Amino acid sequence: MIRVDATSYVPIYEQIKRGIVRLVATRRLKVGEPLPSIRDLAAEIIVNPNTVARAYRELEQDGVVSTQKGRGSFIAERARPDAERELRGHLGRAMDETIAEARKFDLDDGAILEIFETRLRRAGGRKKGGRNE
Amino acid sequence: MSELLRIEHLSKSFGRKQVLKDLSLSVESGRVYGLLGRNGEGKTTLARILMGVIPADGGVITFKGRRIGFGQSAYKREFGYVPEDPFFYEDMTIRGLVNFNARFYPRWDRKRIAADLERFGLDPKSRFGTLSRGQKLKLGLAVALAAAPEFLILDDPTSGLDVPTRQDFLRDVIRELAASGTTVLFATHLVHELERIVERLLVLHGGRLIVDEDFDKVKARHQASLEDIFVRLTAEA
Repeated sequence: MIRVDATSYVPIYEQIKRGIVRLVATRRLKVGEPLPSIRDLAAEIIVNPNTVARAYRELEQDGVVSTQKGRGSFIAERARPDAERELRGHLGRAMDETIAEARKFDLDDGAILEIFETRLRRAGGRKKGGRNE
Repeated sequence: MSELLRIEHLSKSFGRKQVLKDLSLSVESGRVYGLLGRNGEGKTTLARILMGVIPADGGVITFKGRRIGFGQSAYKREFGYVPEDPFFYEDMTIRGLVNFNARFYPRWDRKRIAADLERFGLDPKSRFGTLSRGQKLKLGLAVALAAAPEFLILDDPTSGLDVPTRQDFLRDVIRELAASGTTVLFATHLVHELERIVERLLVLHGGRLIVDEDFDKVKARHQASLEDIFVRLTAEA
């Protein structure tokens, strides 16, 4: 469910946070759904439990997760809009980089859009709200 | 966090070779310390001095405020030690060596070791000499953990093992961390193992600690994998 690349320079707790936010934004984790216990997730993805605890703690501060004493952590009510906003921001920044790259080669908007649409089609089309075709 | 162990000005030579030179370190409880160093840089020497197996030439080690070291034994009840090659008598059965060890530890957890042996697929009737290297290591860990140690020293335990066995071993250490908050000193030359669990990075080079810093900070500064960081640091020093 969550993958961690320990050799990446992105800190592991940050990777866990992003992974959970992505799962919420793509509706694979739904509001009210429980997260695995710190111990279980740590053992599954082989990371220090303190690192998982830190990710959960920060997700709680961000309002993505709510923790109830003795019951564990759950996806919070307001997590979805937040997660979606974060995902959009993340994708937006990636696209900004692509656009900047394209500008270096003097590509106009039409050419950029054309490349983008070709790549989208090649990746398999997907209609609004639907799954992979 | 409170200080569990303190090492001050530790030195050790073998003949003319000085392995540890004026090494000082403070270990806080509940954290995972990763001790990296190339082969022959003194990781095992440090572990053996901490375990009171060999004497240091100079320096002071205190555990929870009490001085420890060679010739003392009481503190070892609170230490767990998994060496690279856990050694027990070849002809001893697992049950025999578990019972033998149980006598030395007041907090020995019989239920726990029985459960661990079963989980690891270790038959109490097997003789130690017939076990594979991976099985010996798991047995070493089970025995160390049954004593409910406050401080666990892992001395290059996973070298020479295949990847699945190493992952299994790490998972068991992680379960222990989650359940008991044990303080761990994990010495290794295999950086991949460490990268996933280390909180404080120690790099031993030329008999000194050239790094003693939170791993997050080291990583943020170098923006690289631990392997690259390790190579860079030991080349510069």
